[in-house]
Order: sequence, then structure tokens, then C-alpha cells
Amino acid sequence: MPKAPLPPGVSAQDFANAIREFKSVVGPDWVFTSEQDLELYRDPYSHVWGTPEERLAAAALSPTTVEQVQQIVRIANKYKTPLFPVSAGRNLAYGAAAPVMSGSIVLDLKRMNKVLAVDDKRHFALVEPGVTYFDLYRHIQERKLKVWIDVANPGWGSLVGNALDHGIGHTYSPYRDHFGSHCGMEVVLPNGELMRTGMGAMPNADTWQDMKYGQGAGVEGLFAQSGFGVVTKMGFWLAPEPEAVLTARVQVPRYGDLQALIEEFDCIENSGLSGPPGFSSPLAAPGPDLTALMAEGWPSLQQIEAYHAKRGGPAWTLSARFYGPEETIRGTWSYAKRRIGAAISGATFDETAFYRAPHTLESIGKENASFFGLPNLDTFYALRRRPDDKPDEQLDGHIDFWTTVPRTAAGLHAGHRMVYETQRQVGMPVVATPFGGPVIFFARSFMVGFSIVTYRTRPDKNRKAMEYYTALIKNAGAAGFGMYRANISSQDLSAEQYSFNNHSLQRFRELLKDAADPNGIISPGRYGLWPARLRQTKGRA
Amino acid sequence: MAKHQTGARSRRDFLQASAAAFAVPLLAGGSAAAWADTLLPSLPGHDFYKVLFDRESPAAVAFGRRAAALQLPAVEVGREVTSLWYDDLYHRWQKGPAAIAGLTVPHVAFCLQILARDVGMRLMYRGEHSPLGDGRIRHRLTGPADELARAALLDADWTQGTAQLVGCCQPAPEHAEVEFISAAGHVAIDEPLVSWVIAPRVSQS
Repeated sequence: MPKAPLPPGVSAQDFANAIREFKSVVGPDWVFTSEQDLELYRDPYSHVWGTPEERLAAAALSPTTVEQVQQIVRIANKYKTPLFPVSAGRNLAYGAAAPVMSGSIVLDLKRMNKVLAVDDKRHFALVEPGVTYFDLYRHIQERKLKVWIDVANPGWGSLVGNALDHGIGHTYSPYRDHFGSHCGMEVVLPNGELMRTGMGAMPNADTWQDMKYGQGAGVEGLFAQSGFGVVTKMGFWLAPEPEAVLTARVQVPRYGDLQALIEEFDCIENSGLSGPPGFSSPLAAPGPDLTALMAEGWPSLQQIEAYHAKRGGPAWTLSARFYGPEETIRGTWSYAKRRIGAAISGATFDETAFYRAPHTLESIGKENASFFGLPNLDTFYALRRRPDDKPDEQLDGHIDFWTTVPRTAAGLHAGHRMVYETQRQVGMPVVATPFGGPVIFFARSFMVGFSIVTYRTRPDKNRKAMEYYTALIKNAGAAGFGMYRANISSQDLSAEQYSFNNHSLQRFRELLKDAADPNGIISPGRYGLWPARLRQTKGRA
Repeated sequence: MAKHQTGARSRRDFLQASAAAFAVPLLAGGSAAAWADTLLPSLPGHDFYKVLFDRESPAAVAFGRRAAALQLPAVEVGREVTSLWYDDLYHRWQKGPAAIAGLTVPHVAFCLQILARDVGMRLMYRGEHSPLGDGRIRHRLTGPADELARAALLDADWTQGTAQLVGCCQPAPEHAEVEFISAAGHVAIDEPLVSWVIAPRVSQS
């Protein structure tokens, strides 16, 4: 492992003093400075692994109580040692437990792992940052509580960490936006003071996890993808366990039917009647005809329709999931068929499966467990070898690129076309086509994107991945397709794309940052937000 | 899933007894199995909770057979990690750290390594075994220096030797990396596999 760096601007003596004081707070076994331990705070998926660009921690600490966090923050202020809080540290593809700025001290909150409350009558949970989806699921199952969690994929991540990085799940709209479904947080501020948001600010209130706003200006958003404090508790709204899940498929015959299909299902989902749909096209299946279609540039509508005529079959498939009582979801499915059938001639409809609660890994067969609120690690199949890998190549991970596009057919195609043009620009294999579907992380928009694989043993491939990732961020930004998350290597660049009125949004955040965290100790650089003392150098020598 | 093997006789007793029965000189062309057995008295390994092997890979199955013959608690696994951890390892680790080892596809090793951190365990040894497409296999091993110094002896029958290497893996302050290529003609693989040992962290304080 490369040598652990000192925090920028901190002397070796001050660093040693800080470490000694941290040990007095959490105990010597929970202050990590050895090479073996700091290896855990490297990004295992990094595409800059082993290069000067890799972000390395100076040390790591693992407290168990809020009081310890407060003491740590005060010591950090004393020595100006930057802290980088992580919850479970499993934000793979975006940096995992590694800091944005080399020389940060990772504040590992994994041992703060208590489920403080789950109420299956009022449908909420209150948890500490080290609680994972698996932990909360186990807590609910062991007590036979009648609530569902919306799980991130993989399920070993922290609810708090995932929400604070704007992570998402896979069930109903109100729950799969994990930050949007939080209700109430407790934060250790950069000066070590403890604060609660919403109704938590009112002593004796019993509505902290029921009513988000309390009164006055909301500040919760400052603690997501940012560096304004250390979140030590967070409430989440949970769904009542649905009695049943019905899955269905709609297919439409013409390429141009996609817009109508989107519009009709938008009305269904935005009425609160369904989970997120999936859109795909059978025409995206690889083959020589598709390769030929994409060889000379983005095809015209005429070329696309000629290709479709040759391939035959439906142009688009919508996969739907409905959650709720059987009589309700069967009624919704009937309504969906009537509505879409009236709008799109030739649309076909199939009910593909019906599941009654309880939903378990055994009962759902090969369905995606995340669709059923079941935490799992299935996504790691993604790390299997690719067909074009050499026999001895083993990919080590991926970085993810997901960019927000309008929830329209034109927006979707424009997103894929931007990716296609970027692939040609940087000489990557061209895989984007006019038949690419979206993913629907958030209710009102589409996402276009994919994973770029990384190989520790192939620095040439990793350099190409970085070039590709950088070009995608810039091209997406130019098109108005901002990323909603970014890898730690590229958060400055990603943040720069949000540049309206000479970056007025980021300048306002900086104003707040300098007031709230004058020593710049909380998460320097996270999503491009640097404290004044590091703003020019970005923590580099 | 095969059951965890237990017996009245400890694994260490068994290993020491079997080693005493061998008198194969080191570096004299003896098999990897003989080499490892000979070394075992001086390198007693962990008391493993489980030694996992991939049921779909013939090489991993051969590794598992050898591990079982050494009275290691060999257990076959698939490539899905959720149940292995949620229904089994989680409960064992709630009682405290317990070492595990294996020869699996890489993502299984990766997931278990991450999950084991939560209970104070660390990846102590990792061996990447990668096919070169012509029957030969490249081995890239990282772990305790003393043991890796002898790793070239895995060449003759790497699955057997690997079982014994993980079986006697001990914490050591010095880590090293070695890389070598084994000849075709022994147990072939058509996809990369990883051998590994995950064991309780040694306190740094």
C-alpha cells in the first residue's frame, strides 16, 4: 500500500498529538494507522488504484457514541485534522470508505449500529449510521413487524449513508428516494455541538419521525453529499407490508410508440398506483444488423424503422410492478390495460407473476429481491468476467455514470446519443443505441448510464476508463444532463457542471461552509465543496 | 450445504500427527502435499470455522477434498453470498470473530472480506489463480512472507498445495507477494479463482 499521507497543512507532531487524543476517546484499538488497517479505507473499485490520483486516508477512527463523535470533532478542530465521515463505507462505485481528499481521517461510524426504533403502526424507523439494510431487515423479521424497507442494492450498505449520498431503492416512489423518505436527523455540527432537525428540535415532541418540517427554514439538505456535520441518527418512513405484488408486461409495436407509453404510465405511477416501470427494447439485442446500423453515426428515424422492419417484433417493452391488496392491484392492472390500450393501438398485455405476502427469497424465485424489499448481495454477479476479458483478467470493480435526462422519449434518446458520441470520441466500444432504456431512480425523471469496469492489474484500461468517465461528465454537463452522484475522483468536475449564474449555487454553499466550519474539518472536497483554506489547492501539495 | 465437520480430536493434533508420519525432505522434489504436511508442526494455522470451496469448479472441489482430508471443515458453496452470510456466518460472527478460508470465485471472496471487517477480521492471505488460456495458470499470492517463500512448490499440484497453504496460514508482521506460473497438465481452470484466508485482526496497540 502507498504510504499514508499526512493531512494537508498539518505537521507530523500535530498529527501525532491528534492521534494520541483520538485514542483517549475511542480506545487505541479503534484508531487505525497501520498499513494493514488503512488498506480497508482504500476504494477497492478504484480506477486510479496505485496511482498518485488515488485518494488515501491518513488514519481512521471508529467511535460508538454520539459523545465520542463530539469529542473527536473538537479534537479535529484543535489540530485542523480533516475528518471524512462514512457510515458503512460501502458506497462502492463512488469511492467506498476512501476520502475525497488524501490525508483525511476517515470517521468510520460502522460501530454506531443500533436500531433505535421501528414502529409498524406509524411506519417509521430511527437508526444510527452503522445500521445496514440487512440489520434493519433482520430486526423487523425477528420481531415480526409489518413494515417493508426499501433496500439499496447491495443490501449491506447503511441506510443513513445511502440516503446522505442520495441513494435509491426499488419499490414505490415515496420510499425509493432514500433521502426524500427520511424524517428527522441528529447531527454533530462542525463545532461539536449537537443539533436535531424538524420536530426533533422541540424537547418532548413525540413526532420526530412523523412530521418532517417542524418550523422555519429546513437545513436537512445541507448534510447530504456535503460537509456540514456528522449525522448520528436518522429517521425513515417505511411502507406497510403490501399484501401482494403483481408484475406485468406491456409491449408496443412501433418505435415511435415510446412517448405515448411513457405518458400513459406516468399518469399511473404519479397517481401513486404503481412502483417504477422498466423500459427496454427487444431491438437492443446485439447482432450484425445492429452493429451495421450504429457503424456510421447515430441513425435517422428512417434507418431505425428499416432496421426494426427487418428484425420484426415489438419495439418496446414496459415492465410494471404493482404493490398492495390483491383487489386493488388487479384493479390497477385492469385500468392500466384499458388506458394504454386506448392510447396505443396494437399494445399487448401480460400478467407475468403474482406474489402474496410474506415475500421471501424462496417465494420470489428469480425475481430481483430488491423489488420486494429483500436485502441481498446478488449485484456482485456483476463482477463476473466479461466475454471479452482475456483468460487471466479479473475485473475488480466499476465506477458508475448515471445522468438525469427528461422523462420523455426524446430525452431518453438524447441521453443515449450523448453516450454514443462520447464512446466514439474517446475510442470506447460503441454500445449505446437508440434502443437503450432508462432506469427510474427518482419519480419524475429518467436516468441514462451504466458502469465502467476497472482492473487493478490493467492500469492502461483504468486510464482509458478515467478518460471515458471524464468525457462523459463534461458532455453530459454540456447537454444539461447532470450526474446525481459522482466517484470521489471526479466530484469537482461533476459539481462544476452545475454552473448557472457563475456557479451561484456552489458559491452560496461555500458561504455557508465557511461560516459553519471555519477550520474546514468536515469532509473537505465532498461534491466539490472545499473549505476556504483548501479551496485553491484542493488539498494538494 | 455440507455440515461443519467437528471431531473430538483437534485439527492441530491431526496435522501434527500426520506431519510426524512424513519424512519428506524439503526442496527434494517431494509433492506439495508432502511439503505442506511436513511444515505444519511449525506453522499451526487457525481453527477455521469453515473452509469454503466453489462447487462449480473442479479445481475448487479438488481443493475442498484435500482440505477435508486435512480435517479442515470443508464446505461447498455456490456463487450467491446472501444466504451464506445472512443465515450462517452472521450468526457465528455474532459470537465473536472466527476464521474462514476458501477457494472461490473472486466476488465471493470480496464480499466475505468486506463483511468480515465488521467483526474485526482481516484478509490475511489472498492468492489469485488465473488461467492463461493454454492450460497454464498464473498464481499471484499475497500473504505472510514465510509461507509465500515456499509457494513455488505449489507448482506440482496447486489445488492440493493451496489447501495446505491456507490450512497453515499464520499471522505475520511481514507480508510479501510472489508470482509464478504453473505448467499445464494438472488441474485446469477456465476462469480466475481466488484462495484466501480471513482471520481475526491482530491488535496493533
